[in-house]
Amino acid sequence: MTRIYDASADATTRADGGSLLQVRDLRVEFSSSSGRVHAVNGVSFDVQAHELLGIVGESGCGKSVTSLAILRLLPKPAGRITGGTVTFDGTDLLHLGDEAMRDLRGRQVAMIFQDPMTSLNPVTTIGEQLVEVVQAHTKLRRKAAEQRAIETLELVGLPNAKARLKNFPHQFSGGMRQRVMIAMALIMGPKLLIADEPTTALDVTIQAQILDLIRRVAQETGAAVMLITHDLGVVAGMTQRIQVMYAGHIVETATTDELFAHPRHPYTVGLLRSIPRLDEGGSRELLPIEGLPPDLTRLPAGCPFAPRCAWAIERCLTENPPLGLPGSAEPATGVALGTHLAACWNPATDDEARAGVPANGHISAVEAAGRERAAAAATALGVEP
Amino acid sequence: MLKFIVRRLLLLIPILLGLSLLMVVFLHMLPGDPCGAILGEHSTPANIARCQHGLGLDKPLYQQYLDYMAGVIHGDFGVSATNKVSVTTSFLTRFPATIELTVAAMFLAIGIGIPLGVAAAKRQYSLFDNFATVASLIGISIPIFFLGLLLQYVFGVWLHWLPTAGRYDLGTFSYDHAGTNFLLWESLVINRNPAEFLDVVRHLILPAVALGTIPLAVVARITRSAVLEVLSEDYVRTARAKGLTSKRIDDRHVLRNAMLPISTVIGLQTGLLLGGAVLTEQIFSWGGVGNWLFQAAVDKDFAVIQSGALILASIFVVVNLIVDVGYAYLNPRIRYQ
Repeated sequence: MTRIYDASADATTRADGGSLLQVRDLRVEFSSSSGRVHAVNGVSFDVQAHELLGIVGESGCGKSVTSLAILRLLPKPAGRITGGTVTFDGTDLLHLGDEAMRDLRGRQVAMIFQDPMTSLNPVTTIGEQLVEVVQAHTKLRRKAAEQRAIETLELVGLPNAKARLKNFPHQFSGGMRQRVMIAMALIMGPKLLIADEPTTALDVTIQAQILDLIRRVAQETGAAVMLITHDLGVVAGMTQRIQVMYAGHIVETATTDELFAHPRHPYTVGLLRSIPRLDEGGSRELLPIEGLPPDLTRLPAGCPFAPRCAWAIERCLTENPPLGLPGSAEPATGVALGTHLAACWNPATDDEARAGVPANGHISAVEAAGRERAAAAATALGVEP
Repeated sequence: MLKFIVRRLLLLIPILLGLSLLMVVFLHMLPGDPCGAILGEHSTPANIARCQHGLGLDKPLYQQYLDYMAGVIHGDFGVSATNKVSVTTSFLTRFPATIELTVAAMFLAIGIGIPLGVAAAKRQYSLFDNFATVASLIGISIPIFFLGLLLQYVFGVWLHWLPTAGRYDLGTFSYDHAGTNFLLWESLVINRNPAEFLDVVRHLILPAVALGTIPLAVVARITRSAVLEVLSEDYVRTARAKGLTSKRIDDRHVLRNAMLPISTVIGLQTGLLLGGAVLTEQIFSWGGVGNWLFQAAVDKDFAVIQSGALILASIFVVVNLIVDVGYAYLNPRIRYQ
């Protein structure tokens, strides 16, 4: 925890940071028929070498878009990076030449996608799909590239690897296909592995195996892992740090233990309350988070979570809180990586987090405003509220 | 795979049986018969009766059909009522002309249509894409007889660049009718005469353009939509994330998958063209099967129409079979049982 975290993009970060990946104030927009979609709205974070970082949030919160933006793989021409910097190993990725960027993909930073069925080319053999990665980045001959493919498949635990090079994706089970995807990502020994919902499309029984595999191979190859998921349960046992994203913002970040023990942001509290836990007895009720994520074409002025938040106060409706020390109104600068930060004007206490609701019958500002409007309407109509 | 092919070929039997029945019924529902065409408008009823007896047209319909089918089973497709040449002989001399024309037209359609469709897809909604869309819509909608006449007028009559009729210059060259009748092959490989080959190619250009325009437009449209669909597939994103070069992504991942629907369309179009391009062959006096069948229809030449339809139906089925087999090769998820 000696690294320095700095939310602003200044020259000093690089000097004392030295993180493998530094993302600063990243902004991504999509143009759509219903207007501009603000998918990522100023996201800053670091990934250190050999670290396992979890990024958690509902679908549409910008976690996948962030990872695609890092590799400049946003769908063109709809997706656009509108601001911020991405620095990998000292290289500015957003201004890197196309050819250098191509060579970096797959070699230095590799990705695993959600659905191994649709993410593998159905009409070429998996051997071909592995070999072509090696050939895109080295001058190795085919035989040597094939040897490397076999070794990598053995690393990810694919039985009978040599014979299976000739097989097509549809000849594998879902779990085996994801192993092939992982082998494809690891074949060049990348420094950073971005796993975007790697287990979501798999059977529950296979999920744990694949997560174990990712953790094991990351350890063996020394790759850092950015594990993106909507499931806090997935990251719980795996990562050192977790970042929670909502509506294109990072709303809370802490070490994994800290986040589970002392969630501060009401959204994190909601996420934790909506997954079953065996360690708290059978009496604990599962509480879903009411409502839907905001329309990213028209973000509200205040905190994007306020409309769904039981803790909301007046200020939440007008001012978006910065990511800072819980309870502080200032954005955090120069704090150690792993420091617990939350973007909230009225963070939950430990007791509230355990209960899943605010203490002392707090009425959320949104609900209060709604009641006020109802009362005003009733008065205007001359009926008793 | 072999079992699949055999089964598909066996399927030809009911198809041909049904087709031959339909042809006989339809042909005899039409007014007139070959004798009217042979003897002309000044024929007497006695003449016509004698002619009908000679051709066996006075027998009951079922008897005519059975006689005809008995011949077909023995490989005898009958004799033309008008020129007394066997249908098989006529077909074999004319089919090479149709094959040459079809191959040239499809060569244009594939060689231009696929690159055009790919280029349009990669620049979706650009000026180029819109231009290509409009051009292919025009290509699909323009009637062949109009396009053919337009080409003849502009490049033949007006500019004097290209010949407008026939397969070769009758005044300069002659061909052995016992040969293969593949004139491109004959002129270049057998006769080894470059001037002759050039002459044949020049004669081929306008009809090939006229015939190839619709398939070209269809292939371009289907390529554009197939490539657009594949471009948004997850595995293309994977290929980019792997750091492959864009050429490799296009060739190995995009085109290889887009070829599945494209190949189906190419096969169907080829099958259709092989059936004889009646309009194109008529306009350009091209001695192919389309021209031949058209004349047979005018003359009510029953044997030619019936047998021609059977042979063309068989060819269509075989071409489609070849497409299906090729499809299995392109798409490993399909293995025919």
